[in-house]
Amino acid sequence: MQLLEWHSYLYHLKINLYNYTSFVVLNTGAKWSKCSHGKGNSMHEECVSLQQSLSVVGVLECVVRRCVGPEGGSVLLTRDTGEIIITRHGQRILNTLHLEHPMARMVLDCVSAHSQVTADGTKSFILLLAALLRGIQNSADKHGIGQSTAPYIRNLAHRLLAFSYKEFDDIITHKILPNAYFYCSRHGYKSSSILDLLVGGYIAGRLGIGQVDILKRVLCEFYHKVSQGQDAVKTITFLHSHISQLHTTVTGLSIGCSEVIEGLVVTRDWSVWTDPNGSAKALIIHESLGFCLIAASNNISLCVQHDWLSRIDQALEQKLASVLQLQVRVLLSSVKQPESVLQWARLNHIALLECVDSAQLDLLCRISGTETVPHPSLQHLLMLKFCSRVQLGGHRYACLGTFSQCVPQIHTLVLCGPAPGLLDQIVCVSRGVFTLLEHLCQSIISTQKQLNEYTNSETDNIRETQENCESSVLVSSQSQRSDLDLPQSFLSSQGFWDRIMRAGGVIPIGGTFEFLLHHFLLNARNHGDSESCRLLAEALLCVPRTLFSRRRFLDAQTHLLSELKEMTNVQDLSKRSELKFRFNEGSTLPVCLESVSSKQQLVVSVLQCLNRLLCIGAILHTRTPLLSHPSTSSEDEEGETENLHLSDY
Amino acid sequence: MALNAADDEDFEWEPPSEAEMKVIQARRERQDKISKVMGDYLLKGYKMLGECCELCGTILLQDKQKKNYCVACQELDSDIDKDNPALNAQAALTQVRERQLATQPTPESNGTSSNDPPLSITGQPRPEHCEGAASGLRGPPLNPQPAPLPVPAVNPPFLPPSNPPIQPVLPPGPTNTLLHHPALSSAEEAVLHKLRWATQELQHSVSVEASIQLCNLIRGCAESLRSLKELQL
Repeated sequence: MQLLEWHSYLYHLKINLYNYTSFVVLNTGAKWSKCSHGKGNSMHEECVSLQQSLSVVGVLECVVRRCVGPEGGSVLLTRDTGEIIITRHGQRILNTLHLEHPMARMVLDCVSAHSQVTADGTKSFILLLAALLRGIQNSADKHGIGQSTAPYIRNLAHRLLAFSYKEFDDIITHKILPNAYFYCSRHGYKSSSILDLLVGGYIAGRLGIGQVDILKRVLCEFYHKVSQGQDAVKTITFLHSHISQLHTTVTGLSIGCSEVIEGLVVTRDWSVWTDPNGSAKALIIHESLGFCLIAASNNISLCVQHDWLSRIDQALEQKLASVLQLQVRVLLSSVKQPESVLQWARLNHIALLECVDSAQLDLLCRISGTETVPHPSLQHLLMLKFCSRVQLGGHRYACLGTFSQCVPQIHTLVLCGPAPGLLDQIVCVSRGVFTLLEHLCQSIISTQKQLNEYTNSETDNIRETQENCESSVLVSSQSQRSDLDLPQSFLSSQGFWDRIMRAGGVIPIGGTFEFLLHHFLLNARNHGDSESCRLLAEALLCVPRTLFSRRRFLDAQTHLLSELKEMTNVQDLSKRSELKFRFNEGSTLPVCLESVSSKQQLVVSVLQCLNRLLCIGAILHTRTPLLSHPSTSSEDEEGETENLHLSDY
Repeated sequence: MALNAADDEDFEWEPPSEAEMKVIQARRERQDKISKVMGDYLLKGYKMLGECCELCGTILLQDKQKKNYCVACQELDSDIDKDNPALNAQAALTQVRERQLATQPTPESNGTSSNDPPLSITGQPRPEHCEGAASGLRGPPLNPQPAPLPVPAVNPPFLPPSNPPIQPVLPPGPTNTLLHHPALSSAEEAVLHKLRWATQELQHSVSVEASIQLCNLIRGCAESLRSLKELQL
């Protein structure tokens, strides 16, 4: 492989430089030629970014593959301090691996960004990405594109991305969503159980078997108590944005001790406690009432004016008198108050709580509708429903109840766990549940808006194309959606889950979405790019293949496709709505549900990440130390190289 | 300019052949194996570096002691080593068979049939584990079969000569149909004679030194026989 080939390679390299400015430099060119010249056959200039990304993503896939699904395994992670975490959460596993390869770090960034949006599908992300890369490699090999592999691959990546912008949305909206509804109604899902099944499906893939049921029960109870049967969308948004203030963790107890407590639990104990017996006026103060002389070091001596101390005392007395005038029974302070204030509170039977988290105080203000007091230092006044002390684990905490008329009732989710690591995971999963619900709501609402615009513009066309199967689906979905035209505030909880189901927002878990999408992509007639469709369709099946064994996979696929065929054969529209209560013969328990929108987001994110990976032009190693790298220890940072990458769009 | 060159090449493109597809498939499997092993190491706490190995191009791992480690070079068999006849018996046998195939068109000296003699080079019946692949080449067996010889444990003829197959009894005459040239046959005769003599001396020898020297002589004779036979190919 000798001199002649090396020269010809250099020649091609120079030419490529002018045409594409895309080449990969890995230490020295000689090594590159060695690693890509296999047996000197016609493929000696394969696309290196495809090879590299496939090897990197292949490794990540091998790591997460065994943890997929409710029957997947867990990874035991140990720290040098001896702390052990057993986890199945894809995000956590990937963050714990030591990855310095720039492509791996880029994939990790994409995964984190995706999971911030939907909190779902980290492992499926990696599986789908690996399957797509393999599919692209297969297609490149089969077509045997010789010298021009890199541009072909990049072109393919762009086409896939373009597909994800427009046509993919169309397929989802017009094919998947209606069929999702039909599947759900066919399998007899009741709208009351949808939340349970959604939450259960999410948790089952992330926690151990024994913990799933307990946590599911607690989370659903929490949701129901907060929403009290009222506006579900508002509840979900509220929970999603305030979950950090609305939960408390307790270590040392078993998970079964988790519960929901009415009111807001503040993780401090009352400094001065008198039970106000019922509702009480509370004052929120953000600064110290008196002047705290903190004992600094022993060598400081202060010289003050002779009446300074008395003046300070007078000011304090005035403030306290005005507080008393307001008939306040509870003081909530975000800072520490001096001892004199505590004494005064004890004397006057006022409950005092210090060092409260200001985020929680803000939440209280917002919920309860406060009045602002004209006195400058005394800021917010509100009515509390009750104040109490709670004992959680080994600690005593304060609990504040609020009146809330039309907004969600404040409850606190108390999560218990035997060890901090496990507790951390449980908290993470709980947050993820609410992120998922929020994403589901928002996407359903935006889909409705889009569909309304679409159906308004298409009303004329529908009558003309009545015979066409697709438009009959549109007509039926239009009739369903007519009752979803209501503005957001009219959505009450009774009809909410039912409407979610009708809109096709949920689908049975375990590969249904992938099978459906595979089927529709392969049969897509009007959606342009057949190569992209085929690639995506083949890659999608990797997720059910990992979940099921070979035989069960084939069974599941044939079963689903036969159901689909049966449903599309039903010509009469009225019969479709009567499919509601047909139970599937084999299964008694309805399978858990997952959100269609998070799956859709997953596919889009994967295609975007794929595009970024395959358009990498060069990896340049520089010699500056890493600036911020959360997982490396400090001794790794000296002399480490930082890797930049250019991408050629 | 380069684009034109690319167009010309595309014009002559053919779909990859069976052999190439097999090569691609084998490489894919190897890549999968590498990924799996690397994944295991990552879970054990190794760090994935941004560099590639110089020999094989796999991504390097670094353990806690800051030592770099290439999975493919150190653990898996090399991609190309298995084709090297000097290192692999199977590769050597396939090479031998390929050469046989190449020499098939030349007619045999007995001339009784034009079919391939189902024999290995040493003139002995081929051992079982080579029979399967060679059965494709076989036609109806030749009539003048060589006398069935005591078959020692067969080592392929190209292994390094550390353990030469010592054959104490060899057929007396040139029943080997591959020796045509009279000079070669006489050379072989002489060597065999010396071999026989050395064997007999070895059986009666008493001293250690003499035995060692006789063994060396026998080894030398076997090597010269081998190189004589090589001359036939």
